[in-house]
Amino acid sequence: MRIPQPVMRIVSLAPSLTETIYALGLQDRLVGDTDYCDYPPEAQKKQKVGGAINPSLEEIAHLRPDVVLVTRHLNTLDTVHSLDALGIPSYATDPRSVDEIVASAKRLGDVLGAPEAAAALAEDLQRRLEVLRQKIGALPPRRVLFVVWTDPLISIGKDTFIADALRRAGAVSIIDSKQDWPQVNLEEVAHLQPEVLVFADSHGETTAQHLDVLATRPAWRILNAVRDRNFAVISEAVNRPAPRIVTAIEELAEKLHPEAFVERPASDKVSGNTVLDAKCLCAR
Amino acid sequence: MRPLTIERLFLQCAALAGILFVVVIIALKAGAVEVSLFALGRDLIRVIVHHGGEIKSDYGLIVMNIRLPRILLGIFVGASLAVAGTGFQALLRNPLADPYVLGVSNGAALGAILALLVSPHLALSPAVADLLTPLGAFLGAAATIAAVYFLGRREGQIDSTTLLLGGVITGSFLAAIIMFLMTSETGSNLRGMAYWLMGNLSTSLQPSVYWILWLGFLLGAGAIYTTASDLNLLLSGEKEAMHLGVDLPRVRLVVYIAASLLTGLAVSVSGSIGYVGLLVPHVMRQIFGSDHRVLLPTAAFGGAIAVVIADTIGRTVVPPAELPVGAMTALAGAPLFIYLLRRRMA
Repeated sequence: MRIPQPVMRIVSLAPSLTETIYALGLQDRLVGDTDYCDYPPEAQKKQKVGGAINPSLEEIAHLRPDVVLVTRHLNTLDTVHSLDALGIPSYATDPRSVDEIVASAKRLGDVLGAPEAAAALAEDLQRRLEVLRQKIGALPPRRVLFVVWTDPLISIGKDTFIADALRRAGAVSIIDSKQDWPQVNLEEVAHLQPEVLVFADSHGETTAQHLDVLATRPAWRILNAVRDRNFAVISEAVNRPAPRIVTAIEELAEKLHPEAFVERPASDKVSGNTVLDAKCLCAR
Repeated sequence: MRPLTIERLFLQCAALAGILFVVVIIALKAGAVEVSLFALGRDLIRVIVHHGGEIKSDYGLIVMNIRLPRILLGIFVGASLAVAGTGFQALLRNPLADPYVLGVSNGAALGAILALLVSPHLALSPAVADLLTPLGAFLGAAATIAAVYFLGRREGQIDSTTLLLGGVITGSFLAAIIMFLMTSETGSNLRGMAYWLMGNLSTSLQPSVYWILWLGFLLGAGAIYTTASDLNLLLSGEKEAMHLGVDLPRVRLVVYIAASLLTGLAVSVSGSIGYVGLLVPHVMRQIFGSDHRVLLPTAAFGGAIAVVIADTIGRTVVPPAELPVGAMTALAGAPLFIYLLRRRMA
């Protein structure tokens, strides 16, 4: 099915796609998004079509979109087939790495008829990633555990875009799993002893409380990173394959490698084994 | 039914305890860090002699703080579910009954979800906040138990059929509320609940919780055991048991409350782990006969052995990831159940 040009009415079925539309400056053409689309805050005011997995087809049809945007990691093929049956064109993305996120945002801009904005966005993101690479590319990566959930412990697999984002931030996940969201054995983590535990912060206070709770548990206190409170709490943008992930990468890089972000490096020798300042890492 | 002697009961339990001991040793040895049997024995003795003195070796912390508590939790959960399952199967006179048949696990899940939703809004100290989810789960289970009890009464007494129907309906109603919350509470992070519902033993608990669990187990299992002879008579039918002098209302009440309590405690710390409470009583009945005086203790050991084995396989088979113990028990349980079913028909 062909997407009519120019695209004037867009429905987005994923928070990452909604963010990308705003980043491309096409928000005026966005006529509907999902209950989960909460960034930027204005996106919450758009007409809601339900969740990502079970959107209301009636609501979508009612909005008469020129195109519905879907992403493979969140939406279902069922939705796409149903849209086809209704004669509504859909456009799918499936970025699996940071480079693909940038490329996919650019392609989306082209498809939606905003090639200049797309080129500018991609250029800006690539420039920031390059600046970061120059700053920390040569530093030894920090061994981290990315915590998606604690009871049970869920982390990320090596083929996810989050694992790639960690690499761009000068970190390497200690979990070497082919599953995307592996349930991880705490024993294995204690054996591998990550230097830092990385959390995506959804609600500031919840996370701070959660970290205090973890630090009281005997099983978690085996981890040096928990005892020393080496926690890095970064924006939950890291969970979304959208342009904002670059901000989360910059944030994490600065928390993990503060020495690389000092404007004028101290003249005397900087210890190669910089002690992480626990206070600066905690979301307080 | 063969006459029961203390010696026979003791020998059967000792044999199962021996198997459980071997399973626990293997479970202690297996995992991310290799531990030699000799070092394990030496350090366990040292801990017992020194009353919990810390082991200094590199693996000691992992074995003592992660592996051992998890194995102990597995023993508790397995034993509780198997005893509760045995109790429910006798009480409801239904071979398909398991600890979750009366909706207790859904009540616990709903309680846990509500606790997760409110905990950020309460200013709690970390240690208390950590207890909130299991506490919420247990309160949810207790509320369900009470609701199903009142639904299951006819003319002031528990009626088995009404109880079963009331429990099933309550369970599906609660499942609907859980579905509603998980899809409508978009602002909060309930993603992990899906994993919690699958059942797993990896939750790291505060040490005080273990004492509550074991106390609850002794109370619940002890209460059910006092009705063991009555449950035997119940096998021949409810009317027959009454004519033989069984105080049926009291037996129903004791078994229902005690088995639900065991289930509620187990669910509150592990989510729902399927097949153990259904299958272990059947297996033990095949091996040891249907005398509940033997069946209840052997089922407790059997359940503990089954869950510890399932969890050990689950956490070692795909390192560094692990499979939820609920998936492991279902994987092994379903074929075994079909086998038992076909054998009985043949």
